[in-house]
Amino acid sequence: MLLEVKNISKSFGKVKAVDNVSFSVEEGDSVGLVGESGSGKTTLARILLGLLKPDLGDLQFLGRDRSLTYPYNISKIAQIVFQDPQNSLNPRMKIGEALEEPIKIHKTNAKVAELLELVGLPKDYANRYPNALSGGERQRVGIARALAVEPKFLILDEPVSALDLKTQVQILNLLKDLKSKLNLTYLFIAHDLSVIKYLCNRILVMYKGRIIESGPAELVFSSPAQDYTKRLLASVL
Amino acid sequence: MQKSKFGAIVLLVFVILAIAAPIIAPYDPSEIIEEEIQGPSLKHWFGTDDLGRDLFSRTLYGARISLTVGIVAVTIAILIGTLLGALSGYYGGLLDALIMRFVDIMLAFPSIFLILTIQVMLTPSIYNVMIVIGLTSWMGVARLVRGEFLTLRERQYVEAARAIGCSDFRIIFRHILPNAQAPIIVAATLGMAGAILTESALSFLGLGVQPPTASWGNMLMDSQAYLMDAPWMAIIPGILILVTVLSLYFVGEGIREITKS
Repeated sequence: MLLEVKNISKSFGKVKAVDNVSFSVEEGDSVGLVGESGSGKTTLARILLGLLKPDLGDLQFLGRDRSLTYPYNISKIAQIVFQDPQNSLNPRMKIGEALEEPIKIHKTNAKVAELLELVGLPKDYANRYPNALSGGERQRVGIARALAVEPKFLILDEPVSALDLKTQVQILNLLKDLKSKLNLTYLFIAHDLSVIKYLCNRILVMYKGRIIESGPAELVFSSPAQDYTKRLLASVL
Repeated sequence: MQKSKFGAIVLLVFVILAIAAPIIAPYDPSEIIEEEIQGPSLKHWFGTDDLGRDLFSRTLYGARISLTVGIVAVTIAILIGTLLGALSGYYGGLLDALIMRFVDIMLAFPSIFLILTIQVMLTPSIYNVMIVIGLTSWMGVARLVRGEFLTLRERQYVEAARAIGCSDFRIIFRHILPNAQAPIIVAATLGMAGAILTESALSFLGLGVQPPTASWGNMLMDSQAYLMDAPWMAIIPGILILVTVLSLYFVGEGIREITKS
């Protein structure tokens, strides 16, 4: 068991952003987290990363909890790729510096040049600033930065929804390659179900802060149990 | 844009002249070499003062003092203001409230009286002038930096840095501060203009740079008694202060325009 989430809740004022959520992720899984915007997906992701403290509940990576409750320690295991590549890179930091940072903090053996190669970017991009890169290239840098920590678990928060269709396909293929190459576990957050179908073997459906349906991807797609999931599927297909 | 180029060139020339003062100055600035109060001539470009010192030499050396006071005072103000503003904006909450109330208290004092009081209590020296001006002019910077941090800390790259495991220290200095530098530079140029004016005012009142050391401010003070007989004694340092301050404003405005677009 890579990750076990038990009864996590988080409210902002009166709004229950995450409401008693439990699920688990096995090593090697690729879990799709689906739901419309405002359903609490991103809040849940931030809790998993240790960026946000849950009001209630428990969260365990690799069966240990206490030693991993600090954000610093979680960051060694779980990383995130953000939705918007325009804003997720510091405009004043060269690509090389941005990749060097996690390597230094976590003292990993990763090399900037190798990371760039891994995500399909030329080595000399290390000397460029983010504004000299296209959206797809920036997203590759975002992926490389997350991988620099050598994490086991990667949260992909709508990683392709800000990109054009051709770039979406390229990034998805890259993610698929990286998963098998580096033996990663994914939590793929999306509202676009076709993307999930392409990449995920398990699905969680989130609605108003709760997980209302979960199961193997084929099952959820072929015979959804909840009306909400049916509507979600119908709206796309 | 034209104005800011003009300002930048003027400042550059002044700085070069100030640095090169020992080479350029025809006389020792404190040496009494001639009869007192002579008008500008080929021998004494800016004339001589009431004690018979060469005013061109004094102006060059005065530029060193005035510009140094401006730079050092502003550096102190920027350092304090940036640090407190950054802490305030980044952490928010109680710390923010405390720092901002402190800023309010400091701003509530009319700064020129505060400076005068402190200067009267201390022995007047150039260093005290720099420090006192710096310690009483950081509040605007603190507010500005706090505002920048309030917006920048919500940026996604800050959250990304946090997810990577960056410390608060690193996020503040490596991720947020570099993105807030443009308005800080603008504040620094405008602040330097203010510091030079304050130094002039202090020296004019006899509480700043002490004779025989020349600064543009105390040259103005020396000229008071001779306004009718020797107007050049007042006009020359007066114009230099005016031109320097205006140039700094122009440069500051120019940087603000460039970084806006």
